[in-house]
Amino acid sequence: MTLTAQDLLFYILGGLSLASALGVLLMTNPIYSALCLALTMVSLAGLYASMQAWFVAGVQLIVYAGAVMVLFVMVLMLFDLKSEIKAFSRGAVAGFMKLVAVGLMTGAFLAAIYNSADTLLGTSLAAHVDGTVSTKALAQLLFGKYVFAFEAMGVLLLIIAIGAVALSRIEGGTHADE
Amino acid sequence: MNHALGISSYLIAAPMLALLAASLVPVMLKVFSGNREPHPFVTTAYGFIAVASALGLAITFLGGSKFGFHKALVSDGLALWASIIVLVSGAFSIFMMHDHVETQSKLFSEKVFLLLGSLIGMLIVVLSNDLIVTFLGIETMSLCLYVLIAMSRETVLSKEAAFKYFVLGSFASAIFLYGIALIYGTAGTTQFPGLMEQVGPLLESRNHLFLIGIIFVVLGFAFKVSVFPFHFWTPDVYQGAPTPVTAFMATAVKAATFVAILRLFQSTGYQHSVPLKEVISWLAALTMLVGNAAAIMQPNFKRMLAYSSVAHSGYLMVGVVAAGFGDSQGVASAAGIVVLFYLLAYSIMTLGSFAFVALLEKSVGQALQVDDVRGLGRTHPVLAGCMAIVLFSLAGVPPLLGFFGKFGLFSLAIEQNFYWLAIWGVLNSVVSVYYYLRPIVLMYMQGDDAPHVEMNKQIMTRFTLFGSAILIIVMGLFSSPILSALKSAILGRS
Repeated sequence: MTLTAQDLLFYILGGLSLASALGVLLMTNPIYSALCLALTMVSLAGLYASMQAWFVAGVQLIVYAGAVMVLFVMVLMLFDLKSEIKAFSRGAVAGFMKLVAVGLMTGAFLAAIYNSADTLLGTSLAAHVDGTVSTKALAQLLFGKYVFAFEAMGVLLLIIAIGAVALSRIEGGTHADE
Repeated sequence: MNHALGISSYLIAAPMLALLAASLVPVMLKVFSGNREPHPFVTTAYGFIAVASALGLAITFLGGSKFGFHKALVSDGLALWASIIVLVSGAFSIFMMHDHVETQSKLFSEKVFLLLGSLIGMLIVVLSNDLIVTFLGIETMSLCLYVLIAMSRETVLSKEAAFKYFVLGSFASAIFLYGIALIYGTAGTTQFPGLMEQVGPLLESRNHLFLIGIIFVVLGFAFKVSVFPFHFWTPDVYQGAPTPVTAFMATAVKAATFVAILRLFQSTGYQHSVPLKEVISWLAALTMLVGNAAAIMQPNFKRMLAYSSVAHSGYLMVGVVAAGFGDSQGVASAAGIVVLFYLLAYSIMTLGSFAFVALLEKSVGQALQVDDVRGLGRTHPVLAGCMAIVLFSLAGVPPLLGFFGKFGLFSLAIEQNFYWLAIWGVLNSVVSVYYYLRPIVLMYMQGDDAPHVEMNKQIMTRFTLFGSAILIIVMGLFSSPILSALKSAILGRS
């Protein structure tokens, strides 16, 4: 099996996203964690782009790496980071339990992928289409087959907006009366 | 590609649209009157009108076997009856919210808005024909509840409860979504009818990735209905939430989610996975045991009812096991009938028992103990009598409603050769009699010297308690017409 440029790109971007995702968890400074998260988003966007999913890649960059990350960092600025760092649970037993949980989960997934490889390899992936057509197809799915889910999402966002305002106004909230 | 939606799509969604439009009225009234809170009674009336009109539209337009919005929604007997249960629970919860000391505040119209929003989410869940739509419905329903719990006037326990529920709930949702991704990756569809055809071949060919997807989705559901081992949040959250919200969570959330679980298990293909069958049967058995054993030891009334609701989830899981792993033809429909009947019975009983708790809670943050009901049979004979009926029904004493619910579930389990689950369920019901009868003993046989406890003048909460006691007797006596109505609604679609 020869290694094509496409494969090489996949391994680089995949490795980068894994490493930066680990960084999110392992960095004790929340700002570094947030920056690692941004790197994860960017490398994921690269993976999407390498699969010719231009629209998803663009949205990933603009919405997640852009807007959401700025929000994260701004919220982090408002917190007292010293006490946040202290709030981490450290300890041999807790660490052991975390490792066991992660190990079990990883093992279950590796076993599942290994066992289903035969059936998965047989299925053909959807044919690649060029960027503009795939964006159009996405729009048709979003406003056609999945229009109800799309509209339900709107209702969900409305409820969250009103709920967030209401929460800030409860007794003891940041915008309480009197 | 034709994207036009027929009028039937909108008719199926009519109850949700009515709820959405009506839920905005109290909030808009508040905005346009210079942020002045409308009279709570006006808000309650708007809430009731919203639920009543949604109920009317649901009864008119749901049922049969119709699809809407490119098969994102399905309108069948299951959806119709589940909508009725959910909406009735919502109406009674609004009544109780109007009366209760922890929900009365300057933000009452927002609370009613959130409760109606939660009802929209539940209708989405019960009508959903697609795992993605189910996920959105569950999120809508849960997000409203997180905020509703946090908005209690009690300041410590309710905040802890809201945060605990929010963090654990988000985690469960993430796992649920991961499961959907794995299912879509292996089965190629998230719509229930197509998915149910794929279950058999995929499990037979030992596609473990699909199996993990199903397990993750079941796990997400199990969290919402507090099935062991995902029940640990239940007592804390039920205790910390204001009692009317607890009543709503214990009834409507459970009803909506169990309907979604039934839709996932409407296939005979699950036969091919023995481990899945074993695991889900054991989850049912352990949920019953853990709920009942913990409830016996609880001195706090709301925590006792919380553990009792865990135990009832265990009984309901027996129905799910029969639906997914029974081997006779049409077992899923039969399970749908008994599970819906049980949910109906359980919702009425639970609303009554939480109404009783609400009547005894006087101050914000008061932890009502089981011992506090001593002597109520002498001082408040009518209310104590109603509560005794509710408790007898929860324990499953014939000829009350609760008995027929359990009878239906366990006889279905026996028909499908799950003898050990049925016997286990009956044994657990016997254990549960102990903690359900303890308040009755305390009310009637002790506390001759107990001081006269002044009950709250909560007219609507009293009405809820009376109503549930009367419904328990009447529907218990006339359970066969209700069962046959359920049967014709559910079997009519196939």
